Amino acid sequence: MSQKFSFKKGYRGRAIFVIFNTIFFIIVMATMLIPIIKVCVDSL
Amino acid sequence: MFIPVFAQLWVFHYWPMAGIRFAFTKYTPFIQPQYIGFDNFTRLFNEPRFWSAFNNTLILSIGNLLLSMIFSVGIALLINEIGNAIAKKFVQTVIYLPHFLSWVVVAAIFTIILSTQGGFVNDLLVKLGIIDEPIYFMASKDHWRGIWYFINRWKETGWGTIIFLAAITGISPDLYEAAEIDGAGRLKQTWYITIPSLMNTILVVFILNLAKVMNVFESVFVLYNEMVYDVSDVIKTYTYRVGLQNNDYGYSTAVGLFQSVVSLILVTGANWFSEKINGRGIV
Repeated sequence: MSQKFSFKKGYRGRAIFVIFNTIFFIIVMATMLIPIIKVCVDSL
Repeated sequence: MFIPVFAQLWVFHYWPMAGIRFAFTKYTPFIQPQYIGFDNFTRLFNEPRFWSAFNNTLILSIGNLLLSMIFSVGIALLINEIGNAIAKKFVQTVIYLPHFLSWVVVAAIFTIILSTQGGFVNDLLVKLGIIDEPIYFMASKDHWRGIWYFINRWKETGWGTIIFLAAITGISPDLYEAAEIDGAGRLKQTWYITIPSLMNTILVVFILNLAKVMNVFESVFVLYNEMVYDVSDVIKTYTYRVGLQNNDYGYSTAVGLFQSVVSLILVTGANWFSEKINGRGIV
């Protein structure tokens, strides 16, 4: 499934998608982890 | 080998069905069951609290079911697009994590986070100037359902993606290669190959989850309180209160029986719908 990461014509759309997909999953993972970490840290 | 399975089915699934007869009796811990015909059902249909619980059950469960399908399929498709295998496994592990927490722990976490006194969310919203005063989200009729949907998706979306990721893995790479030769980009490949290939799985998961629509209990029970009964009380929490707290076993059995009949209608209806659209059902 992995494709060449480049901003050259023909690859640009894919590159922009990969960047947004990465940002999206960073936000999703933060949403999953922050509540658990916050409560654990507060309980210490 | 079949005996333990048969015993388990008999003891936990078929034998308890004998209790259905109590739906037609007046039965409390202090009196022997007395046959009263359909009086419990007449009482049930004239009880505003019951209809409120019935509406809430449908709104919460069907909303959650639709959100679950959208989020699980969407996230499975996006995970599938992560090229790096280690990153893919890491993302999967992190989003599965909340599923392994019990509902009691999840409720405790979100009650602390949404608290009006030092709660992370209220602090953040006040600091950003979005709200002036902290909001007691868990006791607000305007916010409770949204919070409940969010917490459910937070806990179960990751787990819901597993079956769709497995289905995506099973799609023949030949189809993608052929599409690529025909000039289809990634978006078109997803739209014309991945999603149609997932439709059968989506339908099966939808029907199986539809069977559980009326069974919502634990997530509501740990998150609701008297102040939000109007928007949060579902049939199972209502049955629990009437049956175990008020000791009205006959009436609560009638409520439970009504719930089972509605579940049966929903599943049969969904299966009929599946047969019409897909040419075959799963039941």
